[in-house]
Amino acid sequence: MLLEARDLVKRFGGLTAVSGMDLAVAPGTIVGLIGPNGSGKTTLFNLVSGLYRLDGGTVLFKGQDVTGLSPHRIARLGLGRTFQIPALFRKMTVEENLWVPAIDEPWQAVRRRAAEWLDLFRLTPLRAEPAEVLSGGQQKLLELARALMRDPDLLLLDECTAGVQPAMVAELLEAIRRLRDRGKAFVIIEHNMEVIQDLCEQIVVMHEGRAIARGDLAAVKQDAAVVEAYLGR
Amino acid sequence: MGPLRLPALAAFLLLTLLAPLALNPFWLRILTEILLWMGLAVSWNIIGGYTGYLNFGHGAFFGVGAYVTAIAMVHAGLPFGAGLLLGGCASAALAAFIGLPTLRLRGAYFAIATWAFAEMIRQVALLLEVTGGAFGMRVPGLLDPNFFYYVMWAAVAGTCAITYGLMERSRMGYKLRAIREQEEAAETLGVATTRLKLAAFALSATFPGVLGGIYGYWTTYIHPDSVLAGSVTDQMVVMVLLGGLGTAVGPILGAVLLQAVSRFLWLQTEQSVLYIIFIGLVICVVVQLLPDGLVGLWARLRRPQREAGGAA
Amino acid sequence: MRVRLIVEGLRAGYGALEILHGVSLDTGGEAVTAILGPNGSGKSTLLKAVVGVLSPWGGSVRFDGVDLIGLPPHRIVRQGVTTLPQGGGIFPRLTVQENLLMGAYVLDDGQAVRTRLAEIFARFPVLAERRRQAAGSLSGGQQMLLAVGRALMTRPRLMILDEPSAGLAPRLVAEVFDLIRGLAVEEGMAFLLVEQSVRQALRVADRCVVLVQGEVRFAGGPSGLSGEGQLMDLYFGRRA
Ligand SMILES: Nc1ncnc2c1ncn2[C@@H]1O[C@H](COP(=O)(O)OP(=O)(O)OP(=O)(O)O)[C@@H](O)[C@H]1O
Ligand SMILES: Nc1ncnc2c1ncn2[C@@H]1O[C@H](COP(=O)(O)OP(=O)(O)OP(=O)(O)O)[C@@H](O)[C@H]1O
Ligand SMILES: [Mg+2]
Ligand SMILES: [Mg+2]
Repeated sequence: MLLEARDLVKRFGGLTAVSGMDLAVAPGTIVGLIGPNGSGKTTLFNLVSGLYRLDGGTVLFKGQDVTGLSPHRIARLGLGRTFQIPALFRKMTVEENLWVPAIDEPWQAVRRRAAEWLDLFRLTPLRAEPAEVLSGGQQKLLELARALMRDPDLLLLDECTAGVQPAMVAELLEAIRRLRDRGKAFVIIEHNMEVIQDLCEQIVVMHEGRAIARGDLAAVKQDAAVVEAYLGR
Repeated sequence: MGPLRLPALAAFLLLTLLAPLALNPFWLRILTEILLWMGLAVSWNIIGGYTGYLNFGHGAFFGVGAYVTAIAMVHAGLPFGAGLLLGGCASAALAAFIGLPTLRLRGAYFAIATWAFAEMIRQVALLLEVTGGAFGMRVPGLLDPNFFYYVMWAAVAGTCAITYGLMERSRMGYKLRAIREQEEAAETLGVATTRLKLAAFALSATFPGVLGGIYGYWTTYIHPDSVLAGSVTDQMVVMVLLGGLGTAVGPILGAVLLQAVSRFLWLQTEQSVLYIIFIGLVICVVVQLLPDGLVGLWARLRRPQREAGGAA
Repeated sequence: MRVRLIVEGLRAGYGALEILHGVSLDTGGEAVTAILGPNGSGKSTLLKAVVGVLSPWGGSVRFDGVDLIGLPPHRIVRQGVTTLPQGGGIFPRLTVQENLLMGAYVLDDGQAVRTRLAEIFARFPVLAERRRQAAGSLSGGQQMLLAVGRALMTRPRLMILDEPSAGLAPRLVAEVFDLIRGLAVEEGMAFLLVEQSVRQALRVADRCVVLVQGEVRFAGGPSGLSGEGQLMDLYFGRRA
């Protein structure tokens, strides 16, 4: 297993946002993480990527115990993530946003890789603009491209298609699939069931901080609890 | 911003170095002081501009540098050069020491913590025996015309400005700006934020340490209320904010302007009240009208602006 | 009769860069008008120019016969136009309840405000549970829901929504669109909304406008859109 999170717990005051959650991801797979708003999906990402301190449980990444490690160390082991609400370096240019994550690598290679992602996401004409002027969808794309610049082995994507135009979503999914075929793994939080259907062999449904169902989309869609809590009707 | 910036900076530095040949002692002295403030303001901007951490205790490093250099010369009999080196190192080490807990704090808390730390250093200097306590300290000086000091300060301020300029396009500079913009994102992208902030803080503290060492040598007398006074920090901060926080040229511009005005008012009235009022006005103007300082104003004037309003 | 918004030849942009190159749009007294289009095509810019957050360079915006151009945003709100900006634009440090009350800023009737607040809490119970929590500590979707709730604190004649479903779970998306439909029918409100969830948008829309690179490329009923093969390819990509 690439990632093994066991029995994770996170509390905010009296609220238990994540309570005894397990998540395992194998290399070369895409796991879909769905669940109602406020069920603890983003909090789970914050725990795994080291941004939040755990109130319980352990996280193993590549067989190594990374519980309590600082976020940049976890990142350097090959784990990347995006933020649901884009967390761009707003006053830096679009292109500089992409350079930062790979800045210690050879300069030419970094620039070339950045240019490729900009091209794919149609951001090339905006490369010298400060990131803050981008439109909502463009910011989402830049957020994703920036995480991809590190070429992580496991990438946690938090609603990376929300607000992105359908044509671009298709290309983005294609890019993710290509990376998957190279052995990269993903956990994607999504509310768009078509995206889930398209990408994920394996789905985990969260509700009130724990997993209430696991399996493929068809199985999960049959589950009464999932329909009640998440899909509706 | 533009490709011309580094060459312009170089030309400016060259001119600065040649100036004393053409000046009488009076003007030389004024220019010398301006150079001192330039160095201080630019060094403050290294941590303030790149990371957004506003250090309200930066003056303490100036004072510590002055005292360490003086003590090394007076009590240990070391030569001036060795004293300076010690002064710079002591400032950097102190910054690393206090940065470890305080750089985890955010915004206003960091400002308050550094301010309190500077006040503490001043109190300690007033109490210790080795610093001469409230009597201050005499420093064997070099009774040379200002030329020596001019060159020393020009060299340090120049090094500081060039360091700042080179950082802009360096790996460290990109990472620091990323930290300023979005610390959490920078961290999850592999940037070792705490270590980098510490490095930037120590670097920014080295320069005032060295400048302080030279200052003691220059005035031949230092006192907690001169080199460790809160007004030292205040001046630097106002200079940077007036010129433009986080820009290469801003602090230099701010230092020249404010120090020139300060000396002019002093010459006219022989008291410092007017200057304090002036500083107050500058703060009001910057806060109200020039959030990005004079450099920001310049950029705003040059950028083609589309008249808003249209058909209305 | 429902209010009508007529935009003609609207030009607007940032700095020296023109984004909208003469956009015309007419809600024609219909209930729900959806604006669709690729990222960066100027949809949010159009909304901002209509509500006065951005000053247009030229063209006209008439709302129920009143010329909106040049009116400051707060005056436009008083004309009966409420906006939900992209991303929600909630006040993260205020509590949930305070955010909702901010939405009722233009209401002078205290009793009406209390009824409205109770209505919203009843419809979105999660907001009631969190009423004293800082809005910034809500989950992404909960923040969006709060923004929708805040917009609903008034009953404007025209409600402008920039991607109201972004980040909402499917069940809530359905609920929000049902709500829009309901308000349009029962209260006679008009809606102008931008959406990337095209299927959802077309389900509720009476009329849709496709904006591409700052120009209107299609305007008409949702059924007419499927006939536009080229446009659909551009927007949806090559579909099976
Ligand atoms: N910093 C915080 N302080 C207090 N409560 C928090 C904080 N962060 C999250 N929560 C709460 O924890 C719960 C889980 O939030 P989380 O953001 O993980 O949800 P989510 O599953 O990502 O939802 P969404 O689909 O809306 O993004 C929510 O009820 C939220 O209000
Ligand atoms: N403040 C600004 N300064 C300069 N350019 C801007 C600014 N805001 C937006 N833009 C540019 O204007 C264009 C249109 O932006 P707008 O936000 O209107 O797009 P949009 O259609 O709403 O896209 P999305 O679907 O991604 O939200 C974009 O290319 C964007 O980069
Ligand atoms: Mg979330
Ligand atoms: Mg938009």
